[in-house]
Amino acid sequence: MKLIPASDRVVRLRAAALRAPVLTCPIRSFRPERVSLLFCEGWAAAANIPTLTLRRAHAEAYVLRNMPPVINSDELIVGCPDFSPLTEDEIRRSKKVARAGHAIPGAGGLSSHMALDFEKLLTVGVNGLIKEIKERQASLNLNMPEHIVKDEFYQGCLVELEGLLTAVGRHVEQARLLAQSASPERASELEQIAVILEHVPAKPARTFREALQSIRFYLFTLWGLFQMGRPDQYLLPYYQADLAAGRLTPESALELIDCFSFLYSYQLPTATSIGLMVGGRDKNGGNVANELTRLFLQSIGHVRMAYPSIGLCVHRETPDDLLDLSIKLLSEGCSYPGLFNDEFITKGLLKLGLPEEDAQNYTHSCCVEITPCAKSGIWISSPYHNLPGILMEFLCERSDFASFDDLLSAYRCRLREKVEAAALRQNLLQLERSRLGGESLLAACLVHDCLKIGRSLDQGGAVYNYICPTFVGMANMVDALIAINLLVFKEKEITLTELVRILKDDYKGHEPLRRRIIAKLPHYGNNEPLTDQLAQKITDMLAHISDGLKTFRGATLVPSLFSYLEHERLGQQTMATPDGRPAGFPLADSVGAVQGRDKTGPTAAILSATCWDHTPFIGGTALNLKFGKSQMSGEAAAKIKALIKTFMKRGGFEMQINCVDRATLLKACENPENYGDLLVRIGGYSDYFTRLSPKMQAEIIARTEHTL
Amino acid sequence: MDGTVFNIQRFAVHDGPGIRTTVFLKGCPLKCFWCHNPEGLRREPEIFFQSSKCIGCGWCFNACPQNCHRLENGVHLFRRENCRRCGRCAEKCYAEAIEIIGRTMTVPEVLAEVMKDKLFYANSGGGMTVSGGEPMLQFEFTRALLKAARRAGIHNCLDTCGFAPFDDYSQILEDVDLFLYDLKATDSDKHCALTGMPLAGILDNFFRLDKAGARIILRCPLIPSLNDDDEHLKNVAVIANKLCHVQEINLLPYHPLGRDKGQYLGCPDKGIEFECASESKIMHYLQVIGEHTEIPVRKA
Repeated sequence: MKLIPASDRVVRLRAAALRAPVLTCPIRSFRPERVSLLFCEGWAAAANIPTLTLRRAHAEAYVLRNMPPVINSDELIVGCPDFSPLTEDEIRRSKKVARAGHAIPGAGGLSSHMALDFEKLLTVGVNGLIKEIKERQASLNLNMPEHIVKDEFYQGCLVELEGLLTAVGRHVEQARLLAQSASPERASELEQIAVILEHVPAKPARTFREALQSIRFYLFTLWGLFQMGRPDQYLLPYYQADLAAGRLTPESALELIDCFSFLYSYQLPTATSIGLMVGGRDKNGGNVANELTRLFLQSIGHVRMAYPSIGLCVHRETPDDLLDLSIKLLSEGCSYPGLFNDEFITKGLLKLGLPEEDAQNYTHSCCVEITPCAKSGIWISSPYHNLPGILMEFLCERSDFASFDDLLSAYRCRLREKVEAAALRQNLLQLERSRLGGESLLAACLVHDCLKIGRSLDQGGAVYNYICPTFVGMANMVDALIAINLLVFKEKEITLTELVRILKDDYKGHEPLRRRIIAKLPHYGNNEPLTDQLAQKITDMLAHISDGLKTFRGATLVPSLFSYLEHERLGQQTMATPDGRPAGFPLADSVGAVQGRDKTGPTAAILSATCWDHTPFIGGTALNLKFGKSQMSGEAAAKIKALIKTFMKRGGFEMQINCVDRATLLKACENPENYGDLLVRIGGYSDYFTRLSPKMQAEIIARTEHTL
Repeated sequence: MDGTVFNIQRFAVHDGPGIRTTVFLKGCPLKCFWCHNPEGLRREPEIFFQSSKCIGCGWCFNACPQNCHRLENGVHLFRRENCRRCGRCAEKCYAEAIEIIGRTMTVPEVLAEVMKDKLFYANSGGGMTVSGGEPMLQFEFTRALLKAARRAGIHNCLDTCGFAPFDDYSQILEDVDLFLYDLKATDSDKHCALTGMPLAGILDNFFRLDKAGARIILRCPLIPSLNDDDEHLKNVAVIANKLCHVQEINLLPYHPLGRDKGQYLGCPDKGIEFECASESKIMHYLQVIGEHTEIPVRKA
């Protein structure tokens, strides 16, 4: 495949995006200060609105009407929040409304994360949504209490949609205003932006560019992590029609995708994620990868920012060139695409009772959590459970176990109690959310069946409402239990009470024991029967730990095994564990081995990580593999491809590949025990970096700098 | 059937096609002084000691029946001369400073390890590579292992220096899919000087293997100032051209890994270091050989 180079415009946009200040808005709100200020003012102005939901809608509309339109230089697609510092006047106003802001009721729980039905937006436009809502409103009987609830929701949607259209109008004006002082070339681009915005998102999109602009504008008026779903499918008709009509080339389409993608970086604070997914199959099981799939993948190499997070759905018929391109991108240091196992994820969704059509049309909602597109009100990672933390808390209370199996079943009971208690808390949060609202009504307009049944997302309007508890530290758990089984029960070298005392002291005075656990005991990730069997047992336990529990909306709890950044935070709170991990050290990442313990190479790591059934873990699992650059380029790329294919065939859920840079190698020198799996190439063969002598490491580091 | 194995490396991607598992057998008849695997030279197990990894726990002091390990002025001393290579110190060394290199394994044990990655071989066109040391030095074991792997449907590579009776090669011919055949010098005096053994038999085996229809990748370690002159490069091409079944010529530019390993094995004389060839020099190697042959040449 011939790759399209990034255009000069894209290079400039990237430089600008990198220069942009790191956003620091509170992670739950995703609102820049200015937007929060406007919201508070809008809230105050809507004091006479009778209900909380409607008052919130009026405040949101106020934000949309008063938000300063921002169009940055070089942009072809617009929709960028204004992150410039507050003016003195605004600071004064902020102080004035600060108290009002604190008084706005809000409930906890998870927001956003779902993929919206952008196909519908492109087909009917905002005007079409307004028309649909008005028709539905007209059929209500306002003498019936339940219809009054629906009417409230519809009214709120209309208020916000009207606000959105006002915001569009302000951008049109801004584009024309900027055109007056722009170079002739830029002026004509700005005029084109204005003309496009006069059409979308209000009306149905007619071209590929209008489609992207429509989606971007809608996304930009939502504050949160709303996913794009499967753009290579729903944008394809626009792309093909434009190509046929000569309005577009693959190059100009890619430039538009690039322009679109940079805007994510302006809207999101660090350490979050927002995504889109490409590839996969349609409801009949046919391969859907197309030219647009390739353009979205190529865009990864142009954009090279933290956002958007792009997933590739891999299945038996995924064209080889898509995998080749993915490996090339990853080898160049890109962190995307994440490689998702289409066949097994679909299988998992079918097991949850989804119809075929929905089971094929899913997306990762940020990281690796799977949610069906356009129909989801799912709460992912709610909450994160600390597996080794719960184990230690338990062992500190009790150490009188007759056997290892006795310990394991007692632990299972404890974990079940924790999961039940957490589920109850999530359900209470959902109850409170159903009373207070808070989730975007604009988002609800594009999530089925909210409009149809007249319920907001907080009222359970979405088709799918499952809650995903996430279990962190699976590998620590497996290794810890192996150590306890061998040292305490089998070899009887130490009592459980003694072991726990040593752990409470963080192995102080017992470094040889810690080293021995690390060096001589089996560890998950090395494809050893003992650990793999225990991993099977534990994952099976986790898959069923929430059986029989129901959510507030009557849905099931769907487990997950990934960790986002939580393995670090939870690790900080966790005392030393029997797997040799010192107190405060991060837990293992997702379903990978404990840091540095997988010393048998990537094939063994993959075999261990796929020795258990991933399909129940629709809430997401991930396997991270690190490779040196030379492991991934040239002929080695074919071998990486074989690793990916084997991972998929074995039923792995998601695999992400990292190509290591110099900084990582330096860290590996400082903390070799965390980097035991780092592979490097040494003229003609590969070896583990941390097993090399310091001199050799220095040599590799010096060399790597040239080739990376 | 027992063999002495010093490593089984999974995901070996440079010892033949696809993803492979390389079985390293201990013992080698050649004595190349740049050897990058000096732990494979001796036939018997030995102790590998990296003092920089020692955490001073002292467990090995008590474990050693010969009192070979001692602490003097805060430094861990290992008196190798009294060591009987029982490996008890390595068993007790949790810091992984002491390792025993070479363990006795049966063919089924090795094969079980190799079979673990069977799926990866299928997806990549890979398999097992038997290497060393020189695997032909443990001929009976090598033959049995290749046969067992063949029965299990595994693609077999044999990495050999060519110094073995041809009769032995002819016995394994049908169980080896691809020979990785090393050529270290093309001048007989030089070969003796560099490896301690004559070239003639090696070349003879090479031609006879080719005649017998063996598929071969010719592998040339190139050591700056020793065997990287244009004359040698040209001769490599000339020799390869005389054969019918050479698939490829692979160049293995020197890397200094063996230098450190020698120290850890108590052979500091193995520490001769050469410069590493620059990218442009490697390009030059490829070019010189390429000018004299149609056979594909690449850096391994």
